[in-house]
Amino acid sequence: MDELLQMRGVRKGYGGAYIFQNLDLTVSKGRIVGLIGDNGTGKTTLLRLMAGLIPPDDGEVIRQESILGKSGISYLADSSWFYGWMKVRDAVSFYSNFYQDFDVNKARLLLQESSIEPGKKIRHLSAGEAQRLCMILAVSRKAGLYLMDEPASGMDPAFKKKLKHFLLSCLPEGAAVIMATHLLKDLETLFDDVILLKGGEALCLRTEEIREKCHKSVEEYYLEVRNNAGNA
Amino acid sequence: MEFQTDTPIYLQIATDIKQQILKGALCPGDKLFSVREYSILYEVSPLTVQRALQQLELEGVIYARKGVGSFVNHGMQENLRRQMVAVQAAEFVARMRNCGLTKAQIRKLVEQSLNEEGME
Repeated sequence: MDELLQMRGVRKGYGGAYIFQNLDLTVSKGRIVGLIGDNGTGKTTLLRLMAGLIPPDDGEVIRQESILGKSGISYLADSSWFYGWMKVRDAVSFYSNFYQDFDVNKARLLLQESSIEPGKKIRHLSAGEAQRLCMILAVSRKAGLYLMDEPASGMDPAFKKKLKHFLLSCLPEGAAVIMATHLLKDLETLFDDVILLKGGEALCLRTEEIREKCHKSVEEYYLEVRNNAGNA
Repeated sequence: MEFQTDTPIYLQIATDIKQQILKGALCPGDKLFSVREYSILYEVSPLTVQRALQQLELEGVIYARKGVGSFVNHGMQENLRRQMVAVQAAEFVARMRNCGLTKAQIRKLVEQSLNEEGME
């Protein structure tokens, strides 16, 4: 069985409006997936449902603990959870204490390569450095599934260019990734699959199948889907 | 390497590796990089690399030794060359047709080009 996670008939809403009415989704082992949708279509909500940070209003989210392993799911949060007094090394310690699967040496090496000083206060880091710190913490965990919400936002353009290289070299072998992004143009070659969100539903497709059958880039295909939904 | 995003990427990777063999950058018996190494090199998912290598194995260009890696097969260079040349020719003809040229015009074009090159 290759399924890490399943969502069945999931319903989720906020303040009387439903983002998802009846969502079905499967996440398979070892696949890198792009989660694509305009702002407000529910990308962040979907990731939070997957991570178990919020419960569905209806339906079920089933995690295969046997395959995900003890570590389970690594969620790349933004830097807002850091306390003001924290230094970089405090955040590393926090992660190290909290997560059994955290590789401290890997984190320290990655920080060194990124020229982020362990002794620096987090609030003194640039936005780009803070975002990179979050990413380093997330990938230093050995998880079966990595969830990332717009990992490139707030990053320096220089690092953005190296993002694919960074992820592919830092993520453990066989890791599954779900990455919410609007940067399809730059990142589509990274994805095995895409989940296109439109009208509260998820359209799951293999990227190479889109290219093979439609002779289009995934970006082009998504734009067509998105615009059709608008006209429907 | 820049990929065209409207055709399958795994095929473009397979073609790139074939070209390396044709150019002599990879020789018969040489060990290819690992899936992970290619994945980082080409900046694509490991599964895409795996598919490209499977394709090459299917075509007899490489063979895999379990637990060791993939190796360039012997004696397929001539086949490869013919294959690659045929693909180039077909693409050229298609492009010229797209420009609205007839068969006769394409032939004339090729003749002109050959004469300019001073080839026999």
